[in-house]
Amino acid sequence: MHPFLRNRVQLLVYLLLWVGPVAYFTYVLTSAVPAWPLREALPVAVGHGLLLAALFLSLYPLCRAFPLRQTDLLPFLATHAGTIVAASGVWLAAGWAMVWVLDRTEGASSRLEQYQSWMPHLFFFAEVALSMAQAVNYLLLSMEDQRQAESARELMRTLAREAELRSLRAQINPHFLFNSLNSVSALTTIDPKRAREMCLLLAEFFRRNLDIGNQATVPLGEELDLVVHYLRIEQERFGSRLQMELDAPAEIRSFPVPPLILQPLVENAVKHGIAGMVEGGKVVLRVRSLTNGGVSIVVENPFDPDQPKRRRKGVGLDNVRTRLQARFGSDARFETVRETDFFRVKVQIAAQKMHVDSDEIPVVNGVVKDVADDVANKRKAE
Amino acid sequence: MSAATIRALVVDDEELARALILEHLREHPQIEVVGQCANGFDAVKSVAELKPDLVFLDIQMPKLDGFEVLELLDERPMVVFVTAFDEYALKAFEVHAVDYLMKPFRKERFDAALQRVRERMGQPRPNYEQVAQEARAPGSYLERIIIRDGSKLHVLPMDRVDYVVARDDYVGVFSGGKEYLKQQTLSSLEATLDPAEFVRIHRSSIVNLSRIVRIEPYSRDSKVVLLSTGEQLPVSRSGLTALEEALGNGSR
Repeated sequence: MHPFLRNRVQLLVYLLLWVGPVAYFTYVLTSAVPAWPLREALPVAVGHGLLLAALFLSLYPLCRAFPLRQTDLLPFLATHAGTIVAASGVWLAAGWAMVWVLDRTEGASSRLEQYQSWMPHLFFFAEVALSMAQAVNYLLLSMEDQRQAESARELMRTLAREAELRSLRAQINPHFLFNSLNSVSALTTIDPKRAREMCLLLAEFFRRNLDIGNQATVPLGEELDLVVHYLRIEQERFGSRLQMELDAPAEIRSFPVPPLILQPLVENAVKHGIAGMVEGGKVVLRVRSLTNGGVSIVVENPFDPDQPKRRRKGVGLDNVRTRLQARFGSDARFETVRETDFFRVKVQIAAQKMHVDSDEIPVVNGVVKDVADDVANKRKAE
Repeated sequence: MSAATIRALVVDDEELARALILEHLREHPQIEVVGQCANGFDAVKSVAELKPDLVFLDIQMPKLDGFEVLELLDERPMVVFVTAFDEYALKAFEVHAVDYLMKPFRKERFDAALQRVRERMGQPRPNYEQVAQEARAPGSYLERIIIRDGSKLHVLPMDRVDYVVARDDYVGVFSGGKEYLKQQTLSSLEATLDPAEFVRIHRSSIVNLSRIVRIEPYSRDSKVVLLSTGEQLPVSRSGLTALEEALGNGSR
């Protein structure tokens, strides 16, 4: 179907363009010798105009069938010349019939004779008009092809970006798993209960990670729980070297965030901070609501100043930065501060119009604190 | 069964990881555990004091990593690396480690490592200081330089090193106005440095590019670099070419 027929506005504009030629034809008829009266001239001119306008549109499928690039010149010219001649013939025949009818009803026999004398000119006019029509059709066709190619490219870009974001979503560091399993391996004989606890912690962590990772948006509270869970596992490994402090008001827990943005920050704090310190240290996680309705998340950790600057510094951090930028643009800020002996990541996300069902957030801040205290007490006891 | 006991040291920053090795060793009475260490500094000290035959060595540890520990040893114990990472295996082979255990490991695998230890017992051991200095993971550069000064250890991250000069069999490493002597040749040190950060500007000196303020003419056909520390270093003709290349290629 012709693109004009698919859009009412375009069709209207197209038909309005034919008002000019119709008016001109009417003028020619009314000023001919002998002149046609307007009541005869106008229907004839409108009839010719509408018919030519329809023929113009009907040639579009032909252009589609013979794309410019893939058609040899000779068959191309032959097809179009043949079609245009035939279409012009149809137009003239219809015009002739129209005038013949007029001739009969009005009883003015000179009209048909007059018309017949104009027919060679009209035929030539139709040839030119329809040739131009084909040129315009090809132009429209190439515009449409381009639009389609563009939207296909756009789709590919979107898909590629989504795939990238999926892969950026914190993939669990395999060394975390290997080291944890090594701890389990050691605990099975030293303390079977703790070994079982560690297995369960790991299983729960992975399950939560999968659940959260499959969602487009999660309440911040779930992210915080996951991070606490992660730190509990790492505390089994690092013992008293790893301490944590979580400071998050309860009302902040329903704030919607992209999944798995906190875990990489905390993992980074453990891996590049605490793990490199003989006496260990404390990972501090502080969440605050901002006056503009957004939220600010700070992760702080000490590090050994003698440590060299990591060459592959924070792939995890870069991923979080990239994801925040892709998702929020300038609505999110990501800063890192490196002092002489501590490192801080600060993330700010402005309030979004994302809907999160607050009924699904049963855990309140106190419970998270309890978990943290629980783990801390357990460590002290040992 | 061999009568000779093998004296072993266990080095890992995780208590549970050490406990696991100790547990497996209990079934091997000919192996005597003489000590445990939780970081690289302690490991260097303990090897010097206890002179073990065998060290179970973690790689990623606070203060010094496993390879840096080796670099500082006068003694030549046999080494079995124990780590969760596989990317150091090649480097471990280069420093002639007896074995490379990946966490978590099976008891059979651990026993096989001990079998290799027994086979190696009495064979000549590598000079770790040299091989560890030369072994580099592909594509990676020295991140810090470790200098022994009597009983003291200095760990200098490379970004704190201003420049290095040749001093006969030693190199003099300058950092914050102090010079630290390390037994190594300038060329072997140069080979381990990131060429985007350090450039050899003279037969006898390597400079940290970020310290260079400007290049000044010294005499008619010689130049010096002026460092942000206020010091001046002579630049040879080939050194000038290397310097201009490094500064001009936009890598920093």
